[in-house]
Amino acid sequence: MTPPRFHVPGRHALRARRAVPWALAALLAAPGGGALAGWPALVPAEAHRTQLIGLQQGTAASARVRDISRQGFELAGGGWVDFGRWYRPAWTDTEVSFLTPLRPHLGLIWGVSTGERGEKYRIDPSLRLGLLLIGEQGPRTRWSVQVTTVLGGRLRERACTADYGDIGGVQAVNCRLAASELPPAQTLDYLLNEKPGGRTRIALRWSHAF
Amino acid sequence: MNTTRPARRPSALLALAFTTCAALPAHAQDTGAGLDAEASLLNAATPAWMHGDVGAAWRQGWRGQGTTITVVDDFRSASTSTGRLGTTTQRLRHGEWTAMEAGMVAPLATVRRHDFASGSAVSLQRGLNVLNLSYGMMARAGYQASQIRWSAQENSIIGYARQGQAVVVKAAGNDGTALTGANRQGQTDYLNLALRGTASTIYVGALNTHGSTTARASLASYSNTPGSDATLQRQFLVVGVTGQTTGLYGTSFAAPIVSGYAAVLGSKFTSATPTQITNQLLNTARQDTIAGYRATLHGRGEASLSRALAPQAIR
Repeated sequence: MTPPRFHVPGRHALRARRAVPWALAALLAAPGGGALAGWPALVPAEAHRTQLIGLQQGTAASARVRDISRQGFELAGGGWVDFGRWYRPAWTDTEVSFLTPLRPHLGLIWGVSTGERGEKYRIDPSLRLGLLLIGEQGPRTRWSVQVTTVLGGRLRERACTADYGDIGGVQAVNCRLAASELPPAQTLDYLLNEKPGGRTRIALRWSHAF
Repeated sequence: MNTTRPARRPSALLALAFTTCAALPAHAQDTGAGLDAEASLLNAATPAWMHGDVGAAWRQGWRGQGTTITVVDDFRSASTSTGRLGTTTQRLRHGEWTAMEAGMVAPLATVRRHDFASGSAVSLQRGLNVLNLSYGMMARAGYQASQIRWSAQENSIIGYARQGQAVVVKAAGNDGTALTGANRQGQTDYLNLALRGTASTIYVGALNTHGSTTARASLASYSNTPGSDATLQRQFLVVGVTGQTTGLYGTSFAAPIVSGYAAVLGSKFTSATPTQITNQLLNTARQDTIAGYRATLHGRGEASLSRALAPQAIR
């Protein structure tokens, strides 16, 4: 059987067009596929309309906040401050991603995330956009270029108000660092205000079947 | 009226556990042992003799900067003892040990040395001042505090304590008696007596180890106590002195730990007065880490750096 040839017009172009969704999905589902990892590789080959290619609850930012939520510190009087009450959301940031074929060898990756919020932080909703280009070098060699970027998704942390009594009075502080050795005012410099990690990704892949 | 001039005596028990003496490293031979120890220890792991709280302070990188610990002690005599606070066993003078210890707890504090035989007034520096007194002024019991002819040195220290100009950290002593009582030789530490009730003095006794709620510590057998005096009880803290690790026993090595804590606190609460730093350490001491806690033995309890740094409330 003649393998798909993406760049040859005519009779083969039809095959190629039909094969694209499968090929794109297979590439995206490969290890390192980012938010798309885990999507089954077997998307029906005849489907060339927009496909759901990723559904993920919990992003890198929400995982980071989850780590924080498990921590805490002891107050001056011995009571325990559990960060869970400040850093645990009612809803976990969830991202859904799609692939829309634009041409036989080119697809648009797009997706959105819901964001999440707790009492002392917020992860903004985000929009993911990208392109996937695939091609061939001979019958058994394929390559792809995937570029995606995320807009939004910023993690922002809110300050707490701490009462240090006579020694320090009432001050705005970073909740996480209120009991650290840092002067209270300086802890505010360490409030989280970060763009999502791995915001723009470029992935190059090359495969050869032996 | 009869007066007397007490004799100075370090509040240390000489090393009981000896190991092979190693050559004195350069940092210990310099005049600023605490500062130099700081440089070599900044990136080192927290020594085993330190409370876990100090390790947390080290990891935060906020270690007493902007404060000064003046160690009033023996820096000139030929008397030395063997111990191990860092990675090497050394033989150092009493003051060299206490200065090194305070400097290790608060590595970014400026550690100054004031030889206690000088008798000269102790000067204060900019920022928070902590005075570490790991010695006693011993004389025959029975005098009133007013009968003591103090040198300019002790006069300055007592004055700073009364006026709350410096955190004065005083080793309780190693006679196993009350702070202001007579020891077996019939002598009293008159410096303890003179500092009683002053605004910014902390007396420090020794526990046999660091306490925790699961493994409570006991008062070291040699440590002096506040006794039944409620004023002294309110000024008294205890900390673990792990001589089994360092070879250094005595309340001499309890006081520098609290001096270091005061410096770390001072670097966090940069506008706090010495009296506020003193009260914070006293008010946040914990009793649940001490076996058979009693105010007559342990005063306010075991000093807790982590609690002293923490807010009373947060929302």
